[in-house]
Amino acid sequence: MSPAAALLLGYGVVAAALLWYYLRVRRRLAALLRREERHAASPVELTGVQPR
Amino acid sequence: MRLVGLAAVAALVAGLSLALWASPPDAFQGDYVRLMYVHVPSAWVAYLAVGTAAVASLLYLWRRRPAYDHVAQGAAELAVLFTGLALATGMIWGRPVWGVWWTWDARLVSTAILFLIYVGCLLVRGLAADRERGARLAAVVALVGALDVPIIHFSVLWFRTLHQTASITRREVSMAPAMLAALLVNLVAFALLFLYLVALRARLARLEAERAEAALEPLPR
Repeated sequence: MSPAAALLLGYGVVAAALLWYYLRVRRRLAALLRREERHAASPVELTGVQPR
Repeated sequence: MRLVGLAAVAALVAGLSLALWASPPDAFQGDYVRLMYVHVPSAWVAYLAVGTAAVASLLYLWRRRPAYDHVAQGAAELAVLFTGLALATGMIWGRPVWGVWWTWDARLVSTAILFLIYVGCLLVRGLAADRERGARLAAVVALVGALDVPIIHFSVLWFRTLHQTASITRREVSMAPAMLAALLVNLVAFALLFLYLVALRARLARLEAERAEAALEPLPR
């Protein structure tokens, strides 16, 4: 493996892993906050249970 | 926390420039030495993540405050991520320099064991019947995993290994100043990134727990 290939692979793996983890957490956080806003006014939607 | 994130990005850019352009090639390894500027910080930050997970787990088992568990959860995930990166970058460096991707060396094996213990920590949390039980089990596994860190650190002294001993000790620094600067800047960058990510992940864990609790509360009549 040439030095250029090793560096590309090594730095590529690090960048991809860190970016993947960051985006995964950000996306889950954003989805959760969006859902919180949408459901804030409605306990029925939050729990899925219909009151009698 | 946004400031810490921005500082981490700035430090990563500076570290990358120093690592790839400003620092000189090694006399024996040539340009392969540049992999050390991500390999060593990954390993050190993996220790930091394990230490954080262990302290937060201990506090959780003692005080039972969910906030400690949220930090432990984030730190455990990052311990897996950074230990995995240390192993991967070590293998990519090992192939051209040692001639093998992997060897059953004490440092490598003890690091792989740490990786597996923390994967187990995430698994027991996910597979537990309820949230509280999962948190408790994960805390115990995180503490057991932390016992491996001194073994990893001193493995190069206790056993006959292929892995080199520490280049930075209290007595001496056996590397060129330009190399040391690249290493330290990248170490600071990785540590800042860890702080930012662990805070972000702990916030997510807190919101998820709150949502799960809210879903279990009885409806107002």
